[in-house]
Amino acid sequence: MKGELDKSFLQHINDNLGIARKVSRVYCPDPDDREDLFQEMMYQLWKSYANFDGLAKFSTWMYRVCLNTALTYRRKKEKERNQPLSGAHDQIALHDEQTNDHAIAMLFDAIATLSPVNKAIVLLYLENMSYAEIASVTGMTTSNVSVRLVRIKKELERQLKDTLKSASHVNP
Amino acid sequence: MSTLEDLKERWNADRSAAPTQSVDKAALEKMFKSRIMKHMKTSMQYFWASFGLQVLVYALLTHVLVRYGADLTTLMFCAGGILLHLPFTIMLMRKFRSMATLKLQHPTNDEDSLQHYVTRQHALLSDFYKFKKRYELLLIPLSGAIGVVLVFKLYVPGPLTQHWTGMLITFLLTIISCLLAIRSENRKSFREPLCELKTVIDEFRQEAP
Repeated sequence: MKGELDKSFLQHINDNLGIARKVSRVYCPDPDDREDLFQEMMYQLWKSYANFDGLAKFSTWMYRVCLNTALTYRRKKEKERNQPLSGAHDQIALHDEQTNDHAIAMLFDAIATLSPVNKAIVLLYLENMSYAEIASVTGMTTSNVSVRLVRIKKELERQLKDTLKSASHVNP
Repeated sequence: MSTLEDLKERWNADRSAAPTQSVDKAALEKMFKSRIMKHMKTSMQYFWASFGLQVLVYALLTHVLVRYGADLTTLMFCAGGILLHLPFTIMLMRKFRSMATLKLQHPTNDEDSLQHYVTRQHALLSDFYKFKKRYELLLIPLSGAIGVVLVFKLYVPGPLTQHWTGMLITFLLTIISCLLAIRSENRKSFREPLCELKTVIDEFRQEAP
């Protein structure tokens, strides 16, 4: 390993760990892939940390690295995921995700259906970034970001309403 | 307020999206060691496979050269085979090294956009794949032909001109088996990743009307 882990790196990572969790959840529906992607993000953040000059906010830079990693990440093939049964499989499965907020879980599910680039745009939008900031991070024009966001919002609203409607039919 | 706007506020307030435990130094170091091992393993797998093949070719040609080098035709074929492989071995190792080190030396820069990063990754992989394809197109038929000629010359009685059909069939079988092995490797390691990256790049470039 090259050098000791910087204290400030650890501090920054722990303050913003939710970013890596959110990005990995949106890009990987499979829990094994998600954990693998999360570890890859941590590794890429550590490798790239020397390039962080502090001019931008750490969270913006972390989003950049995490999204770069997610967009170029190769999922394991189905056959690679198959494994023999072991004692661990007898245990009752834990709830899939870390959030207890049902509405947020619905939002995660809706975002997961978007295309890879639209996922990145909406994640940045949800973090309260301006259109100009989103354009800078993604490398798109501000007008393109703005038009895309209108469409993405419509699509997400539609999906969320559909989910809420079907949920109310099940639990009237 | 719309459903999404409402959720946006909750999204930012939702601390449960972050894990309940923070990561400590030991856990991160363990994670990084395992990632380094994984990356090394992936790179080395390809390196040893291609390097192993080169060593095998050199060993065989040298053996034949030493044993049957007294015959001028055999000597020429062996020497030709070795000389043909040498620049390709050097180029392959250089290209591979530059690809591996570029990946390590240029992680995300502060000013890099997602589009730029994905495009660069695509260019890097595509460049190596182009070289690999050219290398395979030229070298495999040539080394296959040299191998077939040497085998027929050394082990099949009679002059080479009597065995054109046999030589041609053996050559075609060699090429087909090589192509099948290469096709599967190229699909898994190059075509599929390149196609995925291209889809993302196309989506970035797609201007909203």
